Amino acid sequence: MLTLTVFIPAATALLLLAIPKDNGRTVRMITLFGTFVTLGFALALLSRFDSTATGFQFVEEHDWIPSLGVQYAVGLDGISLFLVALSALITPIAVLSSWTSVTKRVREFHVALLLLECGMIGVFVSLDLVLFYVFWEVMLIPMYLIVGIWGSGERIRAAIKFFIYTMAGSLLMFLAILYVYIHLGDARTFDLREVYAALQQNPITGTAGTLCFLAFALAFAIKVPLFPFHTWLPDAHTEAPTAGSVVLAGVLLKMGTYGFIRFAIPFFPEAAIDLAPWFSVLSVVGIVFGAMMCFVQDDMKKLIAYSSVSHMGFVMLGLFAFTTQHSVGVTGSVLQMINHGISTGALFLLIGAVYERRHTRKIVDYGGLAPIVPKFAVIFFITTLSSIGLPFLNGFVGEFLILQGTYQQSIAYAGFAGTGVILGAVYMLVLYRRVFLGQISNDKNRKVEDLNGREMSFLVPLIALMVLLGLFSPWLTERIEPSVVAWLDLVHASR
Amino acid sequence: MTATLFQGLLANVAAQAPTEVIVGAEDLQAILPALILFASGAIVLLFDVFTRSLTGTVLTGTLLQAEKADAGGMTATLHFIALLGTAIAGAFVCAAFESSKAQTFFTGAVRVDTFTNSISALIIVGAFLSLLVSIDYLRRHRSTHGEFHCLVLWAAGSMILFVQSNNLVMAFLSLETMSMAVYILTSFFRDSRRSVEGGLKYFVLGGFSTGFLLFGFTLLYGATRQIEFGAMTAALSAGTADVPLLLAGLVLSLIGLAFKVGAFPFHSWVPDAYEGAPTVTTGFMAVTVKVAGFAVLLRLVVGFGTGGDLDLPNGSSVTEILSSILSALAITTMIFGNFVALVQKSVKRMLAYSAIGHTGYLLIGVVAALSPGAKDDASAAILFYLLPYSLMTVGAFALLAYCVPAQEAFGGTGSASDGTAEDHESFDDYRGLSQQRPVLAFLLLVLMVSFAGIPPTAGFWAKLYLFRVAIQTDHVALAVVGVLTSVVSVGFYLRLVVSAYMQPAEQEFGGSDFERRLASGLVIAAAAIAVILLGLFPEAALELTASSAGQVAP
Repeated sequence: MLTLTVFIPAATALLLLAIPKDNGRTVRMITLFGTFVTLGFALALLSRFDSTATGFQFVEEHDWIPSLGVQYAVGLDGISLFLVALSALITPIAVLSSWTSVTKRVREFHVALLLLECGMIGVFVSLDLVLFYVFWEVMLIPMYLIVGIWGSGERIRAAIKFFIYTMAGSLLMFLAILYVYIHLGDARTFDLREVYAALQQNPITGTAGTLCFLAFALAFAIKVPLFPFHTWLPDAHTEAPTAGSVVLAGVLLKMGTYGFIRFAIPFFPEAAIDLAPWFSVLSVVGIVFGAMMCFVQDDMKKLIAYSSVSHMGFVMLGLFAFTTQHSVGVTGSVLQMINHGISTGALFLLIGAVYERRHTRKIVDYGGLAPIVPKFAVIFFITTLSSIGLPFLNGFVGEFLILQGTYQQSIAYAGFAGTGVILGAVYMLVLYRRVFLGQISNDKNRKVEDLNGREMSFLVPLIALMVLLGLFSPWLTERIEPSVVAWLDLVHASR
Repeated sequence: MTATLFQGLLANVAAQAPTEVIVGAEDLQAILPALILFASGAIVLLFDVFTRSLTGTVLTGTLLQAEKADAGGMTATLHFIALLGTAIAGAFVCAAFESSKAQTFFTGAVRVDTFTNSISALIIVGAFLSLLVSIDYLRRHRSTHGEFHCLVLWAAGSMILFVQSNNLVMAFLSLETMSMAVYILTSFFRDSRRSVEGGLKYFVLGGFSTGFLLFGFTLLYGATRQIEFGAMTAALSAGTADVPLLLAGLVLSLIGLAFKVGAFPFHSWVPDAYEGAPTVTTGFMAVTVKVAGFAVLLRLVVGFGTGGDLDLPNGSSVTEILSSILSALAITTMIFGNFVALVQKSVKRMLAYSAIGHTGYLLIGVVAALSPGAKDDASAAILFYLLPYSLMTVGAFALLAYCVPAQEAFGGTGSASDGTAEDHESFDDYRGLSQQRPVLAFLLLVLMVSFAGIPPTAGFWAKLYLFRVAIQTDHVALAVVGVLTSVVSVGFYLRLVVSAYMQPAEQEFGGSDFERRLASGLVIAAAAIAVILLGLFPEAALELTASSAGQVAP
């Protein structure tokens, strides 16, 4: 079943190649169908997930390349479960959002999007290091093409920057993977679960351990992006088409934090604990720096991009609160990954929608939109509130748990991060005021149409999710927590 | 000293030569693939000469008539003979896989084992695909000379002999035959200045490097008093060899071979020869010369670098010295090739420098092969690397050949008059390819992605295997340089993708003439599909290379 979830998008992409390329509508319908089937599978996984078990579930294993010790092994635990669901949710939304905005090379666009989905889900379910790496890289090419072909303005530079940054990090991780493999000696394996066990028996210590950890950490820190490795993100986000930004913010960034949880920290707990203060400090710097950058942006998309840097800093901060051996910070991180995916995804969708109407992303070109597009204004407002972590909306629980976890670790970190929360509220509300409230400064804005049915069809469910996840977050945390506890045991077992 | 050596050689030859030299049927069978290639080359040549003398008057007429003639049966027959010969040779190589035992023939001059068979198969595949590409490439260049096929076949035949050679004399002779054929192929468009310049440069520098190789071989002989590889290693293990002389011989031979595979600092012929040569020749030599060169390099290094207890009088070990020399070569070659490729304006030159970069990666494998106990793994990694490398290279140059615009290929027999606008060579020439020829653009994407070593293509597994061996043998520094230069290489491979996919078209691609490029189109597609299939299911190829690699040591 997990295999199907991964490969239905790829199969749909193959199917698309058989469709005449000028038949855009059929292409979109088939893609939508394929992504909905994937979403259906993801929901089935959610419902069948056993929240009491701690190990991997839905495991499938097959030999793939025995000569190199590589196997095809997939499985889910509480940490990856919701990320898979998130990927499966974001993709059909991305398809719907580009229904009218992508007009050239429609078929290629959807093929790229579907392959991207295959790669994303594959990354989250892989239980084999090489398989993981394959999916991790497979995802790069479609994203590169999406930014580079269907992007705007400086798309080519942004696409190349994205690609080179990611490649630079991941190739060093690739070496570290090989190093781990060789290090295990007679017990050589790429199987994640066996690597955990083997590394506990025979850890990589000292300089080698630190270097390997840093190789993994660099790859993931670039992806997150952790300050100061974030410089590719504003470019890629800004120039990518709406669907690209949504997928990028919604899912791709989470691969970085997921990688820390799944690989970097449990493989090299000693190095991770030694270096944790550095990562926490960088996270805090990222939180505050990202928030400050938001104040000086004149481009809405760039603003949201920097807010992502800030918010992902929170996720990282909560994650590195693992040193306290309390599960609360890490659980908050995992939860916040989902929340950030939903709320930032929705923000990019909204900006995409208004961009489609006015063809500008400059904040000064707007103002006083609220009376003209009431539905749009309301949805944007709820999303803003969710993004700044208002109680009863989804953003609150994650941020709260993260701050709670961090507080146990260090009051200073929590204090600075708290500043970030306040700054976050300020810049988002300022954005809202400048775009929606006040006088209409630009006459072109009088003719802007409100959201249409297609746009409501994917925004309303997202809003519903924000409320539901805000109200029923225990339903998520009780699935996440057991895996996190087991994970903490694994990380701290060596001490 | 020379006199003693010479006497030694005489005595040796006398000792080795049986009283009556019998060339048995199995001897001939061992070199049958090469013989078939030589024979079909000769048939092509004769066929060409005799049909040309009959239709020669027609051919020297107007261009229109020339086109009629080339559209007619004559060249088609030549293509057919050449392809058929290669295919038959390939079939015999495949049949030879059946016996997995290493055997020597011609009183030890030729050796056939799984390793030589694998390499021969690669060379034949390279030759076959290049011949296919040449069908429409040569037609577009109005080149009807049968010598092209003949030279390709002879070059391929002598490469196979080079790989199969089991003594110094055989190796040298076959290397020279191969090189001569490739020199001529490089300057095949004799009216094009670039082609002749490239060929001349290749020839002069090649001659120079051959001198090194020959001197190296002489010293090797002097050090061991043997010419047969097996006997030489036996002499090493017996401790009767002169170690300093051996080291000098090995280093000089390495220089000669490093030239052939295009390693820094012996690379300077590569960009000019690759750029000047007819694109189909470039594809052919980029693959086959490198494959053959690495096969023999590996055999030499594994055979002499790791045999016995080889210490110089001052205590340092030959293996370590070789290892550090090769490491330095590998690092500089990777860095040089990839960084210089980054600033190229011509796609052909970019691919030339990227070929230098790949030589650097392969040298990592050779270094690893010197480590104790790793020679099988390392050889398998090199062998496996050569397979996707060959496919990608043939595919990429076929793609370049495919995109030759028809009107610019106008000219007399075997030429494009000024040689500047021969092929689509600048990155900008590929702009908008994806809109006008989406399939071609996709194949280009696959090939470039594989060159850069990104999954799910075969190039990824090749790098994985190689870097794994490097780490396994504690050459982490080499692997780090390898991955960092791979990042650099993404820059230039993706530049082609950027042109093809992300920039608007500046010109029409070909027009109706494209329909006549079926053969090269097939080659590109076959290469790209093979690269993807190998990327998804590399197991069978890995098993084959692992079993071949066990027989590298002489």
